[in-house]
Parts: sequence; C-alpha cells; structure tokens
Amino acid sequence: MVVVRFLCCSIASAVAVLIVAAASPSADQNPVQGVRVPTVSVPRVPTPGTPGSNIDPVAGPRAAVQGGPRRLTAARAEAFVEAARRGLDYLPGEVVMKFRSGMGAASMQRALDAVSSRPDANGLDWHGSVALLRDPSQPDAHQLAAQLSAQPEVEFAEPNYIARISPLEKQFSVGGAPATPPATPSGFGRVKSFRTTGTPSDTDFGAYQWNFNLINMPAAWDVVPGGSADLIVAVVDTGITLAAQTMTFPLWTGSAIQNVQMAFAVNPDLPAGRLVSPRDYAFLDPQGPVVDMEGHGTHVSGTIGQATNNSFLVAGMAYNVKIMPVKVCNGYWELMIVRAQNGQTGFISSDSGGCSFVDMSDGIRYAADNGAKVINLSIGGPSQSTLLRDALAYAVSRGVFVAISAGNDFEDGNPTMYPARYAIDFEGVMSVASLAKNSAKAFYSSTGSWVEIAAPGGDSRQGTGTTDRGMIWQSTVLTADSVAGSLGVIRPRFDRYDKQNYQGTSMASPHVAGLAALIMSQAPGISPAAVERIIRNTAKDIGDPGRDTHFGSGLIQPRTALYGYSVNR
Amino acid sequence: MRRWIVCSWCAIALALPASALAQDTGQSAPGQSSSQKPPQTAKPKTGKLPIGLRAMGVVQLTAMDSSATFKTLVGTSNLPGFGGAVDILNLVSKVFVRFGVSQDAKDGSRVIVMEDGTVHSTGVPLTLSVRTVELAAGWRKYPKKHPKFAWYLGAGIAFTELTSESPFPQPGDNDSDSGSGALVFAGFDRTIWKSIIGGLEVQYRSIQDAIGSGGVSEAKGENSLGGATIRGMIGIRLRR
Repeated sequence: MVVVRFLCCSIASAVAVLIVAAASPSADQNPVQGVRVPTVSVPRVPTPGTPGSNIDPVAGPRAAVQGGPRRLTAARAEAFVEAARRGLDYLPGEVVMKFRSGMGAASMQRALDAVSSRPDANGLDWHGSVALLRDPSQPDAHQLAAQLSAQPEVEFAEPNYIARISPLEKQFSVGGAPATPPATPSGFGRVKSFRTTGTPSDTDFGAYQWNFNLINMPAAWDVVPGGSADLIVAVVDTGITLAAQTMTFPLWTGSAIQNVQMAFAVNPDLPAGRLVSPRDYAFLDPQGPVVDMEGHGTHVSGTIGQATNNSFLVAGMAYNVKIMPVKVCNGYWELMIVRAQNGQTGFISSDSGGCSFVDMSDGIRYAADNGAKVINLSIGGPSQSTLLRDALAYAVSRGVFVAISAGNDFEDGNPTMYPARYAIDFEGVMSVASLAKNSAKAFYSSTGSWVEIAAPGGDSRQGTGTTDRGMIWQSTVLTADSVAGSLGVIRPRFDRYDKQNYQGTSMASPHVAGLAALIMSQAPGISPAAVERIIRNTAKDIGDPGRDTHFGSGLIQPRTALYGYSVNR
Repeated sequence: MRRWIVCSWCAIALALPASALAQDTGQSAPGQSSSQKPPQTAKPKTGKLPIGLRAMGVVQLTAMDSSATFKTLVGTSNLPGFGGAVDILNLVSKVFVRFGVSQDAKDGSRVIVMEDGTVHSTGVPLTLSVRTVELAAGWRKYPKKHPKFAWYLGAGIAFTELTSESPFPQPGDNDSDSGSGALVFAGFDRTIWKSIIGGLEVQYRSIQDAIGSGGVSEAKGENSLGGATIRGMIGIRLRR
C-alpha cells in the first residue's frame, strides 16, 4: 500500500510538472492530426466551459462548446476522489434506494426520517424508479443503506457503488505519433460493406490482431460481413468522442487554476456517422456532447465495430453496425476539471475516478430504451447491486443482449465480480473471461461459476518479444502528448488517435458483444436468450471438459456461430 | 435389432433366387408346363429364357432413417431424387443382376441445435445430396395370366455418399461422408408399349455409422445414411 501511495504521489507530481510546462506560454508547435499548430497561452480566468472558438488554436472545423460539466458535480467529484483515497468501493454519502410500490410522499419521508440527518424526500435525485440520496453528514454509505433497508417502505437500499477501470489494462507507453488516414483511403470514412477473401486490408491487421485470427474472424466475415447498419451496439463505458471540437475547461496547472483549451477529435477509424444516440451520464450535460478523456470506451468500441478493410490501422468485428456511446465513467481529467471549476487546487491520484452504479444503471436502461440491441459492459466491481441486476433484467426484457467483462482480479483474491455474477441469472447476459494469445487463461482473468464464455483479452506476460505483445490492439485516443527534444510535456488533449495495446476482460467482452451483433444482424428479431445459446453451443471447449470456472463454455467461435452446422460437421 | 431384421431380410432375399433356381431345375419355367397352355404371346419353348436387359430411368422419394437430422436441415426427411439402373435378366433362369445409381437432394439451410433441442437456422444455404451406387441380384416372376407384367425382388449392397454444399466453405466444410451396407428391394413392371416398360419399386438401404460424429446428426443421435425409397421407373426391356 505504501508503495502504491508512493507511486500515486510520484505520478501526481510528474503530472503537475508536466502540466505546468504544458500550460506555460510557449512557441512550441505540436502535431494535431497532421497539422502543426502553435500553442497559445490561455487566460487565467477560471470561467468554466467557455466557448473555445475565440482562442482555438486548431485549424479546421471545430465546434465551440457552451457550458461546463453539469452531470459531474463538485460533490460527486470529491466523492470519487475520497473513495479513491480511502480505497472505498462506493461513493461516500450516496445511497441508492427503491421504495415499495404504492408509497406516497408521506411514506417516503417516514422512511427517510430513519436517517439521522432526516433528509427531505423532495431532495431525492430520481433515476427512474430508484432514488439517489446524498447525505454528506454520513459518509458511510453502508450504514445509510442499512438504516434505510430496515424501513418497511423501502424495497432495497444500497451504497452507490463504483467500478474502476483496472490499471493493468493499459500497458502501453505514452507518446508516439498519431496515426493519420491514408491520403486516398479505400472506403475510409464511409460505411462500406464488403466480402472478405481472407485478411482484411487494414494495414496492421496481420501484425497486431492475433485475437481476430484466433477466433477465425476472416472466415466469419465471409458469412456475415460486418453486420447490419441498422443494428445498434451500446458501449456503456468512458464514452466515445463524437465531434471535433475544442473545449475550454478550468484546470489546476500546478500554480494556479487556468482555463485550458482541450482539443477533441473523432476516431478516424470509427467514423462519426456510425455513432448514434450518445448520452453522457457521468460528466457533461446528458443532452450535450460525449467525449472520451480516458480511451477505454473508444478502445472497446473499436473491437466491436472499428472500420475495417479501409487500409488503415486495425479492424473491428461488426464494422457496419452503429455504436451508441453511453458515458458512465469519469477519469482523472474529468475530476480535475470539476475540482478546478469548484476552485479546488492540487492534483489527485491518477487512478481516481470510476463508474458509479447509478450511472451504469441509467446507461443500461437508456441503451435498452433507445434502440440498442447489444450492450457491452466492460466495467464491474466486487459489490453486489440489486440496482444493476434490475437494470440487466430490464435490458433483457427489452430484447437486448448484454456482454459483461468477468473481472481482472484473479490475482487480487479473485472476488466475485458484479454485474458479471448476474450473467448466470439471465439468458441473454454473458460474462466473459479473457484468453491469452496461446488460448491459455489470461493471468488476471477472474474465475468463478459466473464465467460463461471466453474470448481473447490479451496477456502481456505471455506475449513478450512479439510485435503484438500478446495484447489487444485497437485505435483509441492518445490521452497524453510528448514533444520531441523536451523533457516531455503532458497535455490534456484528446484529438489524436492510434492503435493502442490494452489487456483485460474489458477487451474480451467486446468480442462477445461484436459476435452478438453479427448474430443479430444475421437473424433480426432473435431473442437475447437465443443469442447466448448460440454463442455457448458453438464455443470451443477448452480447459476442463465441459463448462468450467475458467472459461465457461469455452472460446467463442464466430465462424461456427454464424455458419452453423450441416449433417456431420 | 433393426440391423438384425435387415440382415435377415437380406438373407431371405438372397436365398429366394437360389430357391427359385432350384425349383426351376425341377420344374418348367412359366409357360413351359405341359399341363398348362402356353400363353398366346409366348414364344416357342427353348428350355431356357434368353438373357435380357432392362434399363430404367428412375424418379424416387427416399425417407431417410436419420429423419430428425434431415428434417432439421432441409425441413423434411423425404428426399426427392432420380437415377438409373440396368438389370441383366435371366442370367440363370429368372435371376437378374443390377447396377444402379441414384441421387437424392434437397435444399435447406445450416443450423445450430441448442442443448435443449431448439434449432436456430443461420440462413446459410445448404444443399444435401445423397448419392447411392447399387450392386444387387434378384429374381423375377412372370405371372402366367399377365404376360406383360412381372414382379421381382432382390438384395445387394449399396455404397452411399452424402455431400453438403454451402457457400463460403472453409476446408472441410463441404467434405462428404460415406458408408456402405445392405439393400433389399421389390417391385413390379409392366410393358406399356412394345419394349417400353413402366414400374414401381420399393427399396430399403441400411447404411449404419456413416454419420453421427458431428454436426446435427450428432446432436440428434442419428448415424444412418440409409432409408426407404419408393421409385417410379420407366425404361426399356430387351427380351423378357
């Protein structure tokens, strides 16, 4: 723990130094998607979310953004920071509760009176049929939940748990030049259906995407090339940036809170035309733009549906489907922005942030209500949650298939992970374990009876010395920058993309989501339960014979699932 | 049990020509009995039937033994087919030998059979073809009162090959499966006009353990490529 704190402090200090350098007026020129632009000084006026067009140094059509973060409040940001500092799996002082049906305002107030602070029922933050209670006077959410659960008016109450994106998932080194699309790309920027004759033309497919060859995707694409453009897959995660724009946010730069311009761009290997019905439950306004300041959501969406056969970077499984970005997770930058907006100085731990279960529940329900047929949930934690279980049940009842990462905590006590654990309760929800390049279990992949299926997720310990490093490569946002010739400058910019190597059950889950999307494209109207049975019945049994706790039913076989069987094979 | 019945049937069928042959050595051939009037259309007695030939085109419907497998894949276990056969008649008395080929085929789509038995069709087109080569021997009987009419029965061996054809195959996807076994048959034919004959025949082929090691047949627990066939035939007969 001491070592971890030391590392966190070191990282925070390094970030501080580097941001100071980034924020200081300089004449440095930095590459932005191939355009070299001057860095300009930013005004020292802490006005949150001011339009950036006036001082936007980036050439090209970028939209100015009005308003600052509304979803992520200062109190919520502080709760995330506090949870990270204390190692909590919930947001201090936040409880999710559901009243029994038929309860009126008086009954609700009577239940709330059981809490020492006697919160007002009118002050509850409603999320559908559940209410979020914030009680700053009682940080111990477990105690709050226990008090409320004891009331006859309350169906259930639980802390607002948080899931964190495992730090082991990112193994890449920061920096490097961004990838630029070819000058005359083949099908670049367009939804293009094609029929493969083997390996797609994506330049790095052969050298990096061992995962797709392991599950024989080229042959699967022969049967269902990329899926249907009418099918929507929701990625409930850290978001996906939908538009090129520059936003100005306040940020602690080490010496002061300054307005800092942050450039955003759309992943050139996942065209904006394929991103639909975005929603932000975690950071900005729900109706506003969705941005990914972490990279996880973009990477996951790449596995599901990155543009393919466009002679650029790497491929995705269901490369014709639409992707619905649903942001439910905040990372370091979101929290730093909101803290600065609230006038708070100083740096926070780089692993602060996470995904609150309330936001995840909202995201799942939103996706189910807005046309998604598949949801990918590459997030989870060790806390049981009736809230999330109900959300999964709702999604399945709406005909939505859900793929969930089984967890990366095998070497950390291998706890039961949620919501992955709930997968075995529903036909149509699958928890996904991770395999290494050699089809062995990835070192981190959680095991248990809730593991239902396995897919490639990468394993850095079993890929040493290879080009692909045994990990999963997809195009995602480069969340840091470096300037050659200097000691290194980290800038909060999110407008550059390249293939990046991740590992984790987070990377395995979108393989299953992508397969589900292809199956649903092939058989419109098929139920989520049938999709699960197809995936399970066509899996290649590995490990112990039959279903086991490491791999579930085995390694997914997209080709077989889409092609089917004849009389004897 | 089924195999025992089939084998017994084959043995009986094979024994019949021999029995008939034995009877022929001691008895007159039809139309040769001194106690019977020769048919008006019969040729003068020669003491022995001349070798004849029967060549037929065949249309047929085969009810496959592995009915669940074929129903799952092509919607029915009855496969329509066609073929041809040549019988060399009167090799020894009324014994004939046959060489025949036939093919039954049906279009469907590839499927996935769930553990609970439900079936998901992938929609990938599939054509199943069952090709059979027959080598058999039999015995023909010419009723005295109906000289244009003959009935027969026989038995032999069948070599059967099943092929599955679908688009976008990977190596092995369209490989065939084959097996061999016994067949028995019985039928009749009638002279329609001059040498033109028409007839009906039923046949049963027992081809065990040809499938069942994978795919739908494994899921359904079936291993036979045999089945019962009803045939309509038209052809020519050179001599009786």
